[in-house]
Amino acid sequence: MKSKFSSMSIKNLLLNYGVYLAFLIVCVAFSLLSPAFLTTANLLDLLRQISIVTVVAFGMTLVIISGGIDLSTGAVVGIAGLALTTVLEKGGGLLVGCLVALLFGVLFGVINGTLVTRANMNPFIVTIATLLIGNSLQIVYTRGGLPIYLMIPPKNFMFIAHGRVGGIPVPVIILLMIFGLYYLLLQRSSYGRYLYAIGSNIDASELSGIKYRKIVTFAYILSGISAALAGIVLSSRVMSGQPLAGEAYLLDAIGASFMGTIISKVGRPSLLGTMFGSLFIGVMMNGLTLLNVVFYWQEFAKGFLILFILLIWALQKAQREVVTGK
Amino acid sequence: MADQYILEMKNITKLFPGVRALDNVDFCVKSGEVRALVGENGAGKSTLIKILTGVYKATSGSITLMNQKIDNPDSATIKRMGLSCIYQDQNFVPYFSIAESLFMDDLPQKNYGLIDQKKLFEKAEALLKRLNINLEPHLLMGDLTVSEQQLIQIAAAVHGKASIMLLDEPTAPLSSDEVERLFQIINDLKKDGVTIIYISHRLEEIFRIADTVSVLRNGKMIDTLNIKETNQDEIIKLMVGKDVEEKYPKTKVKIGEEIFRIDNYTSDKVKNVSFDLRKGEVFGIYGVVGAGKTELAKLIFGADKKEDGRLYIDGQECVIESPNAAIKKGIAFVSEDRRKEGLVGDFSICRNITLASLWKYIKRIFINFKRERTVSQTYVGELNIKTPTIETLVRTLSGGNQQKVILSKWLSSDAKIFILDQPTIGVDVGAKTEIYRLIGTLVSNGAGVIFISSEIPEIINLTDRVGVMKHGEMVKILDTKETDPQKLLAYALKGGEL
Amino acid sequence: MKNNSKLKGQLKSLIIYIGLLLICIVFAILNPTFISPSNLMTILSHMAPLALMSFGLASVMMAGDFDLSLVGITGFSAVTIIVLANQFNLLVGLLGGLIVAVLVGFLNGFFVVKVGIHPWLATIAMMRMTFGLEQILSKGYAQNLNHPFIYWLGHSRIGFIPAQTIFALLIFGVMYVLIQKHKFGYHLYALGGNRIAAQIAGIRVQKPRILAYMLAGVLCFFASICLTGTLSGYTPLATEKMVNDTILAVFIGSSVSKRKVINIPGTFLGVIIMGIFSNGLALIGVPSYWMQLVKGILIILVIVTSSRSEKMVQI
Repeated sequence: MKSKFSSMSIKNLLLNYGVYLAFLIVCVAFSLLSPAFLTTANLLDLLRQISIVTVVAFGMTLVIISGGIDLSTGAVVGIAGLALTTVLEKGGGLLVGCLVALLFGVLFGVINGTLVTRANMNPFIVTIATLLIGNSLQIVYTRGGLPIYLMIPPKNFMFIAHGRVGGIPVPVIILLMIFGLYYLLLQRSSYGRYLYAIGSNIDASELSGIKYRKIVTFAYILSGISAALAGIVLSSRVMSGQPLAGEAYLLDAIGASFMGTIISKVGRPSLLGTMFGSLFIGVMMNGLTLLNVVFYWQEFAKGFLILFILLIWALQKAQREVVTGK
Repeated sequence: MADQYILEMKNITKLFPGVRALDNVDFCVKSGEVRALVGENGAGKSTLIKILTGVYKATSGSITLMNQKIDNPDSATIKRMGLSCIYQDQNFVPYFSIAESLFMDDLPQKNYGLIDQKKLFEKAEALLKRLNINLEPHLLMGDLTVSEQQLIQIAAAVHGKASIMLLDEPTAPLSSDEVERLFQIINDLKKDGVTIIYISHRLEEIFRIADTVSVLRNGKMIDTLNIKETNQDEIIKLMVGKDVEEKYPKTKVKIGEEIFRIDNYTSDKVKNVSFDLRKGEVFGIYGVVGAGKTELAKLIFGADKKEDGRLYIDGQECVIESPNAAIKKGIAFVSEDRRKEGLVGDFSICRNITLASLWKYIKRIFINFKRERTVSQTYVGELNIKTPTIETLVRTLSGGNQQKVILSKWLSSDAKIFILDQPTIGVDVGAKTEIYRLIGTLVSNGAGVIFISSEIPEIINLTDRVGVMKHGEMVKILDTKETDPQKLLAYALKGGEL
Repeated sequence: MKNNSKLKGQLKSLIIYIGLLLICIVFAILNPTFISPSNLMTILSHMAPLALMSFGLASVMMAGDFDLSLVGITGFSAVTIIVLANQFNLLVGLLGGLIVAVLVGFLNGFFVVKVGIHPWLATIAMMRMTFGLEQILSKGYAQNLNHPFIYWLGHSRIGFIPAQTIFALLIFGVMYVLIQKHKFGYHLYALGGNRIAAQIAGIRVQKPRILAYMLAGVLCFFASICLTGTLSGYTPLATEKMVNDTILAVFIGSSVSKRKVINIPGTFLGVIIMGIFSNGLALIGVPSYWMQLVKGILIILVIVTSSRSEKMVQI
């Protein structure tokens, strides 16, 4: 262990701590360039902005821990919003609407999980297919993409995204609650232990008596639920059901989760890491907006940042394999 | 010409962490001879071959192929130099036609790299005809039977300008007819002056086609003999060796009632295996590679799909369809492939130890970390696992300590039937002895152990009874006291009747 | 017995053509405009960019890789051509477009093959980047290009066939030879079929795959010229919706082939089927968004019928 430390070159240092350094540089740069950046109001707003994508990313993190990926979250976010606003439009209560929305998340999770664990299909292919189907369902349902606007939005519906409890925006509270819940699940319960074991070595896990099919399917279900929850918050924020609203969050959620993997010492995805990744991307976007950079530059920056994250991830993985002599 | 060495591997040594896999091995083959390479499992045959083909890098030693020294061999280079290899694995493109697969490395081309389809099929047809293989060249590889696929792979290696051919257990998937055809091919190649290195467990085959035979044992080259001046028994003796260097502490335990029995257990790789295990007994399972030992173990443990057969624990019939069910019935399985099937490498020692019995550490809905650590600490002490802390990642441990972590995992799961598949493979001598002692402890505490090994000394010295396997069948169950190494190997190689 | 099953096999392979014919007849009955020469020409000319991109995807997928960024490359290349052509001249524009397309293709190959990032992840990120770039270059506005050659490519006919269709057919011919008849294609097939077997046979594992990514880039460049011709310019993100279509065309192509492998003629057939479907459905008055659902379900069907392995697949 010690000899490894002493031989750690600058390259290794950059590989392992470069992300923090980059984050620091970005933060300092933005606070110098824009006085509005480092204000309580802006930072709270930043948290509110990233809450939706972070909740999606938390669900995605669970699936990534299992060794898979869930691209269908992009569709679930939109579907949940449409489901909720439809129920409200038809005069249903908020609670019923939320339940229906969450049920769609469960449905997608069950389908994804079953296809991945029972039919042994590649998670990428499975979830990109459910993403495509989910997206087209939204377009068909909204007759070509017309959003569902509510004539008289219920007050409590608005509260989800715009309300505050004790000065803290409700979306931030939701974010923290999901974080706490998943954190306990991953770090303290046997479920989390099993999920990590499966992602690290599925054969050894099965031979240790872990029922990997159930455990992994549940991860996909939780991912679906998280995405649906994000969809509920999003539809409340825009006060309508927007088809394909989740597309924009998908890539950010993936990027945040992989960034989380990078900053972990053993290359293991974690909630804290995902939180950091999400913050990083959020700060980038928030700063660029404050600097009045046009949105399409932001898109490029995001793609670049994520490719950069993936690059470091792959290099770290290669380096670990050299160390362990695989 | 005839006396020239075409391949010289000199002073080859290969060290793996804690193990000397090859010790100063010389392996020199003359041009035009058919050389058989034999040895028990773990003797170093595959390591030697992998060094030649560039899969492993030798720790020291030199390789000279056709008077050219090669420093860093890789499969493409040695192929270009005229050495082609046929492996046991299925290495073909399923959607290629036979013709395309035959000439994958050397497609007939027209100008600008265009493939000459007509010539390709003509050449393929001619080759198939020459080798007496009755298959249409346009058939797809994926549509062939396993033995036909193997024949095509052999044919693909034959067509080229190869001057040395290396065949690693080529007859494993072949029927007896096809084996005859293969021998015909080998004889023809021999006439053409091709040098052949032939690795096989089937001694009768070796006596039919080889000119000379080299015997490896424990990573050392024991002898190279002219096939005309030796016989099967002598080779078996050389393979097994007389000197037993290691110590085998065997605990005397009174053997009790039957705790486990299988009747006619059958899967696609295991045929009709029946045996029983008693309290306090170590039941050995012996056989060469491919005999179906590991397959049987996984079948019992519920990891492979069962086709037929019954299983009884303490006289009661049980259905075990998953490892989870097996563990609940008190069965433990230590896989031969520690890294792939035994350990979660990125987990700490503590977490690996509790993985199979985590339910025991749940307080309300959360894991009781303190209890988990205390129990793990106990096992680390009892089994003498050498590690700074129980939070160390298991992939950083040595082979022996890793194996002890796996054993701790099963000890903590309250298993009473232990299936140990080659538990001492890749483990240094000291740790080996500790593992043998542990087996003694297990049986004195009333457990039963199914001990799978392809090392005869282990089997002879540690077990009470031994079942010998060949081709997925258990050909003989012997009382260990009444047997000897020669007899065991003979059963494993020749089958039930001696 | 054997003859019988052979006949069945032949029928099975014919079924897609019979089905296609039936669908065409239905379209023609419901709306006779469908078989009017001018409509058939429209179908043909709209096919060209999709066909070219699908050929690129097919060659990448044959080697066992994937590329989601092709639509992004096409858009980026189109905008590059226009911006440079308006600033300097068409030749500079075309050269610039080709360079950026090949460069992005190379980067894809580099990240996937050399660095070892999963092809879906690397190219999804690259897709966003190229979409960003095309908007940056165009500042988000539609771009016009008035050049006689481009206009000619997009709007005129040779004989009675649209010029860009002829162009696409030419490229089809080249690709057919390169992939189905040439050593290069054979190597890609070998790498996609069994990488270890290919390696043992002495085929290089990395170079052909990177070349396939670059070839896909070149094909996107060709697609971008056709698209620029049709639109007499380019509207940012015009290609975004074509991702599914390229994937579907390639999958259809592999499912109609005898060996069930990805191939160029099959991909072409897939593109034709997609063209007929969207045109026919539009003519009989089905809203275009239904088409999306049909495509999504088709993809699932094709995927579900494709290969399986023993244990849960992890990345």
